[in-house]
Amino acid sequence: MSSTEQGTSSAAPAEPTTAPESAAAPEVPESFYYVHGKDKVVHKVSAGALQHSALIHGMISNLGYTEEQAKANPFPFENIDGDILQMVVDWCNQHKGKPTPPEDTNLPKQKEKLFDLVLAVNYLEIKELLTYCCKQVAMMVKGKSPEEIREIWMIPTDAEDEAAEKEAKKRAGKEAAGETAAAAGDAK
Amino acid sequence: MTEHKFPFLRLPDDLRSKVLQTTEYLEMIAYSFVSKKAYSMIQSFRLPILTVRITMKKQPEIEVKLSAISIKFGLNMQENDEKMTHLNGLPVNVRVTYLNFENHEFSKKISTWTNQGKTVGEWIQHLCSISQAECYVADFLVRDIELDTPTLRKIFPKLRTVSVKFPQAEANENDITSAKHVFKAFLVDVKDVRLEQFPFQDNLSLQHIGMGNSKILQLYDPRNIRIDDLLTLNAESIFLKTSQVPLRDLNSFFKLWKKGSNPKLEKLNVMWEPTRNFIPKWKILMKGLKAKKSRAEGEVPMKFRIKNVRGALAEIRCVFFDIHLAYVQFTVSI
Repeated sequence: MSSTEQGTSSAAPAEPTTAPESAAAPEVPESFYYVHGKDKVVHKVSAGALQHSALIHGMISNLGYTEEQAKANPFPFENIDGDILQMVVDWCNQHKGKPTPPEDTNLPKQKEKLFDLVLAVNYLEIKELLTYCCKQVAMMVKGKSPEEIREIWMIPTDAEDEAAEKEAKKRAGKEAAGETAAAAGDAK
Repeated sequence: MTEHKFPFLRLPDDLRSKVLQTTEYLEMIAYSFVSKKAYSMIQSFRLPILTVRITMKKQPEIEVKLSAISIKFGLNMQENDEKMTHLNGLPVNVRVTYLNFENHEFSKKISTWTNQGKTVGEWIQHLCSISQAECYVADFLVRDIELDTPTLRKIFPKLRTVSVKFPQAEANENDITSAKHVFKAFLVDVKDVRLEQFPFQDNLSLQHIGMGNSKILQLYDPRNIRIDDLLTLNAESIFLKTSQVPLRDLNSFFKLWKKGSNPKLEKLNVMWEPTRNFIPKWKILMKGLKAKKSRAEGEVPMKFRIKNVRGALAEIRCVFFDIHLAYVQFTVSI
């Protein structure tokens, strides 16, 4: 995955080399922040791009970091895979300061990553991207029969569901019994 | 199947709900068949279903209408002419027709689903209980189906409209029995009744059936109908399409209305297809009614006004379109 237009990716906080490019140069220099995912690769993202994320936006508003402080303290998102975070950062950069269109063609195309992407976007509270992602999940079952939906969305049948619940209860019962026996042993 | 899989149930509840609400109604309904939990989730959405129309015939149909969208489920039963369709029968498969008239554009999609392991009755129950529809309508083609009152009561929701259709051929014992089961099951609550080619008999008159509570009664080509039978009804609107010329009977009906019968009646439309060379004698219709003519003779439609003992006024419009159509429209104005 290449680094974003405005940002760079590295194992450690990177030195900002270029100012973000936009049609009209901003009068006030844009501030940048740093985020990293599970892989610890740091992404440099402008405050404008991060505005899409209600979570990060809230964090920024509360912190009031200087550029140096931001560089030294990247936001850690240990629950998000590095490549997923990269996709999110890319999307935020692409849509920085722009109204989001009703149909987004810049959505990540890798369907196998869609689940992790949805969770990440939900966690980061990026409303528009979440809407697009949900639309993409919904499109997977467009025109499908109940059986096809069950298969695509990996939904167990009622019988499978009941069997799994029974199994889970059985396991919980065994564990509880084991704990009781262990506690009795300790008491002796 | 080559589609990529997605662990949908691993999404948090709110996201699952968001995804489902992004799908179209057809997919939402399809999803409701996937599991009991899925069904509950779709129920919680309270889909804006306007009408569910159930047509009980050889190949039953259930049509779900949501604003400009109509989804028709055609239950394909085993082809066997001797065997009648009943509510416990298992469809071979289900033909799903999706029609969308949104934004003045028309689109149609047809797909075939399995029977989902559900009988005709279970299909009806499932589709009627996904969401509380504004109106449930049921048509029963009595020749093709086998019914009993308890099962009908158990399976069908509270119906607003019931239609009972007899075949062109002479009614047999099963037809009559099926119709009686329908009446017994629904007539207490139903507001709108439509009867087609109904074979009225001494023991199967409108009074016997118990039409007392229906507000709208529509009779299409009834057999052996007596206009007198309409006198005891509480219906507010009655429509009758008949093959017989009913002018003399209507005259008696209006005379009795003037004396105070049918106090709830607001509208009566009687229509018939005239035979060749038929010229309606409106004088027969108006004889003894002391009606005031409000249009000149020969003008179409001819209009008369009558008044009853309670002081209610009614207008009688008489229309005759050559050999195509003749009708009498009676409207009470307060």
